[in-house]
Amino acid sequence: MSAWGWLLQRITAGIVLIFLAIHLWLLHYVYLGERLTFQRIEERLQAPVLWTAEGLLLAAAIYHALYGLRGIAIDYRWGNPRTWTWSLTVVGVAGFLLGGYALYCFAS
Amino acid sequence: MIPAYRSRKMMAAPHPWEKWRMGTVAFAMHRASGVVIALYGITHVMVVSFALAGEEGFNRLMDTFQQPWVLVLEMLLVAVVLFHMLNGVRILLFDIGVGVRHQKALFLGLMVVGAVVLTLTVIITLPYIQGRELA
Repeated sequence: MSAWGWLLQRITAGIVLIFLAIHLWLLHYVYLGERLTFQRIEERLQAPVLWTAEGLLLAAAIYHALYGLRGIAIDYRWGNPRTWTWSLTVVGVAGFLLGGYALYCFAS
Repeated sequence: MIPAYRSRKMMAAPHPWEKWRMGTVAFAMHRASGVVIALYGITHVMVVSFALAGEEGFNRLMDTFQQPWVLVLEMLLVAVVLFHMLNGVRILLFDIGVGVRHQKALFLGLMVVGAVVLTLTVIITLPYIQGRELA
């Protein structure tokens, strides 16, 4: 479990590195100086490649962030590692559903 | 405050946190920046999800987040993210056995890259911090 968790932390790090750069470039830098509105975000996210990339970034970033927080908690012996694992899994899945649904609203 | 991975035998050796070498500082800053980014990320997903509540309210919310003082905070966020990203690259390189011998030079080189990207970001954002209207 732990070794796979560690490996997945590195894999998601690589994914976030690449897709966060894409996110910042294609959704912010290109549109520099434009006022952000619902309609404009909708237009920006129309390309299926782009919202797929955003969904992948969302999933990878949530895993990376929560696994990192779990690691810190376990390092300092705060609470029970198993409690952290399942409770953060619940938080992560909820976060992905919330963010994913918002993304779906913009993309469709 | 003793990390769980240190066994009793290792207790005799000086704890890594006791000596504030470059690698130790980088490790502490990586964790601190990670926590900051995680908190931002949670907020970011929640704010964007306000789109579910309707376009009108969402647009008003977006307007509050595009004021100059928020842009200043965003520049700080860019600095924190750049540090975490570039130090992360250093960690990934170490994992595949690259650059461990030259870790100080690698760290400083990556931080120079970060400083350049941050400077460019501030330069293109500065007009809007100074009050230029958004189109």
